[in-house]
Amino acid sequence: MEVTIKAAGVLLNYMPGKQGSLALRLEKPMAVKDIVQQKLGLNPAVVVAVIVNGQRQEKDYIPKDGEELFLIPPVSGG
Amino acid sequence: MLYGYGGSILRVDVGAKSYKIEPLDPGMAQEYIGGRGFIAKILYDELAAGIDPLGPKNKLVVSTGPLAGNLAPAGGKTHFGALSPATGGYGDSNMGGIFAAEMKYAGYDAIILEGAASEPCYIYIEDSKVEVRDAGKYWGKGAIDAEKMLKDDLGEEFQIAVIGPAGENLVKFACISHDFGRQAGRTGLGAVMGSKKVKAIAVKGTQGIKMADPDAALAKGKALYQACFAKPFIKEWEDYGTAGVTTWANEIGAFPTRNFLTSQYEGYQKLSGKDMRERMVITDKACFGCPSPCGKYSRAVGQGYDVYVEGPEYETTAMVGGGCVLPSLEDIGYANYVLDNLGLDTISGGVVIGWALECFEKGIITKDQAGRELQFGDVWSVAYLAEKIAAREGIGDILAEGVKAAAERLGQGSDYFAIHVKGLEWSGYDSRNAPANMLAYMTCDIGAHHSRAWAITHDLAVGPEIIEGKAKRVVELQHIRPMFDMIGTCRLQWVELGIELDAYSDLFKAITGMDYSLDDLLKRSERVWNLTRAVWIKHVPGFGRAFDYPPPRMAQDPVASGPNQGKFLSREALEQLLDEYYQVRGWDRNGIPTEAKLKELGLDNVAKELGLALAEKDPA
Repeated sequence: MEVTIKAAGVLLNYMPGKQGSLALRLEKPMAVKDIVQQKLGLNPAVVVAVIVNGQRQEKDYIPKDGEELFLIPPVSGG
Repeated sequence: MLYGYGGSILRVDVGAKSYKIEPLDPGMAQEYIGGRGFIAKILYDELAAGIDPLGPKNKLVVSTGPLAGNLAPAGGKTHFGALSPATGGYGDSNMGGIFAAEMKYAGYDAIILEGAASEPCYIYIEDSKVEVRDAGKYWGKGAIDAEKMLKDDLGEEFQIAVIGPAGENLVKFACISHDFGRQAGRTGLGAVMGSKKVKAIAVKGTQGIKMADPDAALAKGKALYQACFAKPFIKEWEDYGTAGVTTWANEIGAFPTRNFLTSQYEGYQKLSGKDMRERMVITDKACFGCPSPCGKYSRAVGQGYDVYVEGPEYETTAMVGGGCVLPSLEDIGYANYVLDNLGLDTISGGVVIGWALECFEKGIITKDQAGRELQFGDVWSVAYLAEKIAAREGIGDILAEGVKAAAERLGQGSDYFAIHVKGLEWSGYDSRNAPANMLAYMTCDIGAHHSRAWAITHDLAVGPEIIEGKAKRVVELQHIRPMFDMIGTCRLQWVELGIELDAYSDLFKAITGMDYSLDDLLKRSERVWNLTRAVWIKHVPGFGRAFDYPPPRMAQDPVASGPNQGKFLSREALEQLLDEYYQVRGWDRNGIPTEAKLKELGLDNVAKELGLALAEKDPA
């Protein structure tokens, strides 16, 4: 199965090759937090949640084949 | 011809009730851009060493940048600056809202208040009509209440910057308020305004702003708005605003709790942005030209209160909520309202009150001194202390000096848990397991504040155990984020939505006609950073490395619980962070900019003056 990871903002600095969009092949279904850790080599703590099909999902969401995942960065204002 | 600017600086002598309108110096615009750049330049040039921050020789500078009030997304930032009564050093703070656009439309890129009035007054500005008016009927009123009165009296189209009783009474963490919930909160600038007996600045402008290339500005501005709207997580941001980060800050162990004893609030899930949205938020609220409104206008209802408040923002939730361990979002919302109307910065206010609650627990503040029982978790203790502080009554008079001075006054080891850097209370991120973020707090040019280099994600991404290389990222951020404070826009569209930085330099070019690359703008940001350091050196005797350390609890106490339990940075780590930081900056080991660095930045006069000043202080 394949999913596409999209990132922007502060997270872009830490994406492999600073790419805003990455297509990933997965051997088996995985939770978002595991994809972030194992496939992107990132601490899952840098991601707050994901947007899938316009809906917010938590990091334990298991994406389906072909889905696009937008990583939500932590906000820094206040 | 300067494009993108209002074109003038208004200088008001509030004591003499006179004013001058000066043309904006094109050289200053080219080299310092605007906003905090203008503030740093004016304060460095015009304030003599040794002046009292609350005396008539201090100046309150209000400024914005060339992209404010123009076609830039969220071009609504107003900056205030003065020698800070909280720290004695460089002070500035900014707010969103509509004031910046209005002062530009009145023709002003900066308003400088000088001198001091003998009676309460407010500054009335309608384009070139400027008056120092009697403010007797507004004096003593809450900031929110007084803004409403002024709007009723002058008309809805006037934009108001106003202080509450805390500013009038020279509380050293009094803020300047605007638009019923936006504040220039930090460094006690409300007290500077109060020391001049100025209750408010009311401005209305009817003029336009000339742009260098209006067609390009329109096209680039529109593209930026569309890029913001297209970001998939804009909804997340709009729904929760800054409160969206509360859960995350707790999960990673960065949420200041119980006066920084620990960094995770037990039961933090009930403070989430989602809960706030569902239970309290009435409507979203945006600043001028903002495509992604993060302001939340809420109603807080609880036993004994029912109030409307803008917020609570994350910082208020952290410092008033976590710091004082308030049990519900509603209680935090009520305390937020109380502090806002009194004109107290909720960050410093939360830290000072949290510290006072711990002092009470430890017997350092007695019931007799306090006038009642005090306890963590009790919103009425928080509201009571806020009112005492704003009125400078009883224990409030000591607390009104800020946490550093109050700890020095009360002694008994209370400085150990007085959390500040350079006298400015720490804002909403515990950094004992985040070296880059710790360094950002240590070296922030106003004291312990997060917004100049929020580096905690860098620590998480690179690894909290890594020290080497962190200084480089902090310096980069200290140039990028304050660049927004010079051009006059909010930074959140960049940092939250992911708008590219180059887009801002492109738009800057179209609006101002100045052919500056992003690097050119960042170089000016670096110049301003060095100039603010020079303000500290000029005004604070002995200033240097010793001022760049965190306080004892933050420096040497392990976090008490949560995911970072037991963590803290060693003294060696702190020293390494500072050594590397000074090296990256081109400063000496004492944190003083070298002559070569200052000259590289075009600050030859500063190099000369600082050299003389340092030689005088240390003839050897």
